[in-house]
Amino acid sequence: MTARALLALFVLPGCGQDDGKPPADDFEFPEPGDWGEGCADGTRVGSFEVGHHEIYAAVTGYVQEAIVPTIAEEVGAEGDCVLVRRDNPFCDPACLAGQVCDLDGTCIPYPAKRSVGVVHVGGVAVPVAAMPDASNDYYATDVPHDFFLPGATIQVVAVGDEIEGFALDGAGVPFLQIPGGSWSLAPATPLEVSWTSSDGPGTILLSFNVDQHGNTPVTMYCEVEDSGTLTVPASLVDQLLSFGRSGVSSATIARRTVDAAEIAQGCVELVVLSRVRVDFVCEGCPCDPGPC
Amino acid sequence: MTRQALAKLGLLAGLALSCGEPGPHQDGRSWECVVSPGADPDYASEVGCLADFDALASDPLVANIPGAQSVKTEIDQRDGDALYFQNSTRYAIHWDFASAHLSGNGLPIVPDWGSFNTTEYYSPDRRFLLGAVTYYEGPDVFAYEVAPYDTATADMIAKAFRIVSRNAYFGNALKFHPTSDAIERVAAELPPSIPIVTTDELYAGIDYQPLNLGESYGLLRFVSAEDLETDYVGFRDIVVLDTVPFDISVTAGLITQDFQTPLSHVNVLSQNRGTPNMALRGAFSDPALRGLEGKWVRLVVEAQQWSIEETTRAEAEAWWEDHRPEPLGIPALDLTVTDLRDIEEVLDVEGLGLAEALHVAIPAFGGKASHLGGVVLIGDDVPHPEAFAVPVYYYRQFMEDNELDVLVEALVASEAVQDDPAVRASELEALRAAIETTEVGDEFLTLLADKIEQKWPDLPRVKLRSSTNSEDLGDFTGAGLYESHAGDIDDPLYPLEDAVRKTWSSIWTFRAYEEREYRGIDHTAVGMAMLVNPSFTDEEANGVAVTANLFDTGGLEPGFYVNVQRGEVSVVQPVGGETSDEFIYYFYQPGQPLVFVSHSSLVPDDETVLTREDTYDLGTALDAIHQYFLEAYGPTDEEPDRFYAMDVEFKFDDMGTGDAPSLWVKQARPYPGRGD
Repeated sequence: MTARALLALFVLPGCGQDDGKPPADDFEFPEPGDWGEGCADGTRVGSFEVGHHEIYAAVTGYVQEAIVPTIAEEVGAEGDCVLVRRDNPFCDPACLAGQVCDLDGTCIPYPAKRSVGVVHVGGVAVPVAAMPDASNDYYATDVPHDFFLPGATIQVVAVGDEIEGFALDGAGVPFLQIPGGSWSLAPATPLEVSWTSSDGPGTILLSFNVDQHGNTPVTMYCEVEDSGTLTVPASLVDQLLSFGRSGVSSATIARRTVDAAEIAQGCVELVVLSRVRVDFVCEGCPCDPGPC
Repeated sequence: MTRQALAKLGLLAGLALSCGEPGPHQDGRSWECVVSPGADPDYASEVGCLADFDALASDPLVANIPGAQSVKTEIDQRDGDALYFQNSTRYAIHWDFASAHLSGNGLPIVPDWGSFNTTEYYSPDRRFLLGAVTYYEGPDVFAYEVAPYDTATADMIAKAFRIVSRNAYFGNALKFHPTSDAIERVAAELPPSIPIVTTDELYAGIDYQPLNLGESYGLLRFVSAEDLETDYVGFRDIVVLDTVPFDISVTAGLITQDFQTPLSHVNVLSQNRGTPNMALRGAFSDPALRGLEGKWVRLVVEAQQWSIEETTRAEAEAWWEDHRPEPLGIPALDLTVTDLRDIEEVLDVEGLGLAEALHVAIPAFGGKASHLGGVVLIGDDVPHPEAFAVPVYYYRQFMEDNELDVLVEALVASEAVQDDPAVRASELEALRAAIETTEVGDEFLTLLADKIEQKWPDLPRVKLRSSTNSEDLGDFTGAGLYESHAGDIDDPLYPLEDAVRKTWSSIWTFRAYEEREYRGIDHTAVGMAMLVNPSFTDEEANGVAVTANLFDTGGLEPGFYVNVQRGEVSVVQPVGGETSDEFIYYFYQPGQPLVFVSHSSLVPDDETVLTREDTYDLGTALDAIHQYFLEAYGPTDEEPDRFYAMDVEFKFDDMGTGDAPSLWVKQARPYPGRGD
């Protein structure tokens, strides 16, 4: 859906309950829109996630006052998969603690998280009205595991505070399941992965990381239809491995819908997902099989 | 779920309120062990005694200071600053522990690894304060540390330090150790109540430095470096030296009293030979070592520790029999190539691919020229000098036309040469003298001079650099074995012919012969091509680098190892006891921090040899070189675990322009690793 700044109509000052939490049930959500695409590269200032994980469900999110400068370059692609390399801007002199190097080589304060007021989540089993914590992180982790139903219309509305409000839409995705075994990445070998397919809603996003203590310069992302299988060509596997294989390898798979809204500071994203962290072994990685 | 809740659910299994001997007292508190003997908990919220620390500790991820054990710490600012000393063997990284124990159930979700690492080390409003307590055995120091690339403010570090010190029996003795240049700047803002211990101070307190890891058997001998020229040491000697020598013949192992650098010449030799090499302060007078003098010993050099024990000659013989180096085959010479070739044309990468192109070029142009032939194709990120290559054909033509090859064959076949090092040395000297006094011939000299004049009409002086087919061979680099000489087509003080003959004759130095002999290389199959480039003598800085973090024992903290010195003073063979700037460059981390191992003695205390911009240019080039040669030397289907890094020689020079000095990459070769 397109971004929609909220009217003061949605702001309900002074409606807190005795426990300090705002009421969740009586919030009037706007008419839902269509969910669409996520934020463009290098534009994101905030992200909210309404998710089913393997053994729990949660709402998490944050909005920063500015974009954290990063350089992401596509260094390879084949089929539905891309290799994205992250480079770090260079500043001279070096930035001080609490600063970050901007794309133009100057040091700027590291963008702080800011309050967007109460964030309401609707279309879920238990409506949520989340307040920011002391660091302006939003989270609700005491929600039931069956937090949303497949196909449910899910809405996230921030009423606005230090940063203006916004409204985002998504759809409940079916639970993602990985049938048995682990995935394994080996040189010169196509990477075969499978999951239990569904009719939607949502698409599948996979990520593979084999390098650099998680701060990998290169991550492989594959975004595919929910068909239940994917084969990553050996050539792209080799290309990923060629960028290095240090550290603990990891792979995640998520069935998801995404939506984005533009606010003055940049783009805020909503992902409704079911995510699984896969048992993943990378041949030749120093920590596989772990521990290091 | 909160820490308190975890405790209620019994997830603190293995922790006991009272066990073992009491620890020291802090602020009047009596400390007791909290980990039951034999228990292996996921974490503890206190460290009450050394046994607790040992139960949670592992080797640090980066072992640039040996003799250390480390426990990772996490402070959860969203859970009342709950402190976790994590089991650092089971959870080698912070995220592993946080995602397993501190995600959800009333606490914020710990995001995926990539997101965690891009916020928790950098964001001012991060959830966790991540660190480690490291115990350095040599200086007997407990130090709180944060990652070299962590951008925590002084307030955050101070907060974490105080929480950790309050919850550990060693709290009163705890110091903060800045692990990088960036953290040093932040540490200057810490309150005086937080004591600082510097890397230099920690180094001053350690005795042991592992250089090339491994095991060996030999006869333990004590030799002064000064006496090495006259006191022959053999390949079955493990030698204790009072200082680091410039060179040493093949030995079974080395222990130097002075610390070395990983790229020092004697360590490169140890890597070539596959023999252990270490430094130990006070080794020359160490009672334990002296007690074994003249005896057969087994020496083991490991990343964190070393050991030596008496053994028998029979055990040593048996070990040598099992570990005799396999004869090392070298590429057969290609004598069909006769053109003096511009360096950009040496490799046919487009037609053959890099690995095959190197395979084809090395027999004709040798290792050094062929690898530079790859470097020059990488692009603008890797500045390089202009150069051309002289094929090995001319060396062999010179040797055969003048029947010098007959001398070589006679020398190699001589039993006296084989049996007696003194005879070997004198015969090799005679061979070199014969090469250096035999006329090269006008035809080749004219060809060479014309090429120099054509390429560099205003720069008549060139450096002829050895490039043989017995170097850059995986675990046998041949580094430092052969020589380079300057020649000038106009200046009679630097005759081109002399430079050619001296360079060629360096195949037959005693040390080169000995190294080849030890590795079973056929001497008669060796030939020398040459790499020719303009000679500049006033470079502003020179150095060597490896495209890997040599101290990263776990493979988790990639970086570059750099050793650089002001001017032309060698970093691999310093002549006056100078130290160079030696550091790990975390090029891939935001902020690109440096972790200094040592500082140059030739620059003021508050300066470094390279500027930050110079260092970044070097890092950019090292990254490009690493990626480029990975195709040829990286892990393969057959060897997916193969260690890979490139050894790069560079300089910063204005190349006679008078402009600010800039980077020039002179050479790149595969690096053999340090034996682990």
